[in-house]
Amino acid sequence: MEMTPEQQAAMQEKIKNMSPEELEEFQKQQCIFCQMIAGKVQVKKIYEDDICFAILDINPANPGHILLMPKEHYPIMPIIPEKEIGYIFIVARELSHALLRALGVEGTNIFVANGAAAGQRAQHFMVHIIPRMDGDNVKLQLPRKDIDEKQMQEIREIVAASMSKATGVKEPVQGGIVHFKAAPAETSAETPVEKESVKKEAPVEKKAEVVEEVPKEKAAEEKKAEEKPNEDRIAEILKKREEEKENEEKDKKKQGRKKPAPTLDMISDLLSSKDKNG
Amino acid sequence: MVDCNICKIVDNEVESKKVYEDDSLLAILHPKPAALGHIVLMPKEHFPIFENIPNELVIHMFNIASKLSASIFASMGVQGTNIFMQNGVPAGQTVPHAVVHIIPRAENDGVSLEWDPKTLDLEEMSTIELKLKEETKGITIKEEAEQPVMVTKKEIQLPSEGETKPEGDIKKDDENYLLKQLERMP
Repeated sequence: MEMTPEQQAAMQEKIKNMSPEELEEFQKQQCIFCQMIAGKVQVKKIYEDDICFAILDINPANPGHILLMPKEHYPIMPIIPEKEIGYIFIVARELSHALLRALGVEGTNIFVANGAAAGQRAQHFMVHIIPRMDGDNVKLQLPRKDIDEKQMQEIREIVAASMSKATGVKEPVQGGIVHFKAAPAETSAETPVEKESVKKEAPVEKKAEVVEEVPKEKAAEEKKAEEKPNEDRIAEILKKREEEKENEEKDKKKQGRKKPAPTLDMISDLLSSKDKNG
Repeated sequence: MVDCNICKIVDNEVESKKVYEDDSLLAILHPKPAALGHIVLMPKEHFPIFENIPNELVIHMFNIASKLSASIFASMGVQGTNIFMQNGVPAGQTVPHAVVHIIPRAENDGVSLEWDPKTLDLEEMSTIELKLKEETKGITIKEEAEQPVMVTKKEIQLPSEGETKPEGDIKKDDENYLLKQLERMP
């Protein structure tokens, strides 16, 4: 269905003169995914509710590659209402879990492309959920580059300022401050000194040596200071963990009889063992 | 407790370049970025994988991810962003703490996040469809997910009435950015 240059020009002229509402309607008509959602195009649908729609990708990175999209036509992410973004990613989490259970895979990639340069090919926002197996040869790896420290610092300032503007949340305090010690009463003159001393203790590799150097009394003092104000918080966290464990156990019971698919615990364990090794 | 490098960053035991922080989330610049401006967004609480993160936090986390994405669009003038999660060892996850990557993109930036499509025969496709449909039947999203999200509690600074001007400017920028975005579409 190639258009002649004249037709293209006429089409562009028509688009130019459209009102925003007409343009929106036009985009929806042109959108293949909207047609799928409307049932006009045949798809392998695997999930649907009032807000979301999920199908199998016909050009999958791996068997089971899911495309999850909002039913509403949003060309880009920033125009999606907050409530819907949250909901979409909760469904994404559930679909990821479904892949682990149904296909017995040991991992998933969640992938969103914003803009053509990032690989966005459709004018309908969507989330890719890609099942992953060891040695599946899917080229989804992040390169690791070395960037000049000064440049990193500049970028940090720009992004932090922009984020603060967008959310109304204060910019984060920089530097290493020993946890739970950051009292707001501290004067700014004292803080840098504190930061310096902490930085020296912080590096991971040197930790073992540093521990020996710290006087026992001081360490004990620090421990006390940590414990007191946080008893409530720790109790809360423990309670939460326990509840989660219970829930997980219930889930396990549900799955247990079906098949020996990898469980979340197994996947988590794999990660922690890998972390220790490398 | 697992020895977790991300938790060390959250606890300030390891230095990092923070770009956003609130009660439950922290975002930093990746020390070894895929591209300049590569952000790692992490829950402060330790959750090994995506599936462990509770609804409320998923909602908050991805709304902040979206805002981080929009922020690097606006402030760095990039052409695109990827939002990327590596969930499990085969998916490339290296630390036992679920994080979200936000990666700025430009044409020909040398970052390859594209896959070669595999071809499946119809039968294989149908088998997978059936298996997955069976699993997704059980998906019920709890009601709490439907409630509006409170992004932050105390820290929101309400602009005083005299400061309406900058707000207008921001909006204008946003609109421009949206338009630019549409033009960039394939």
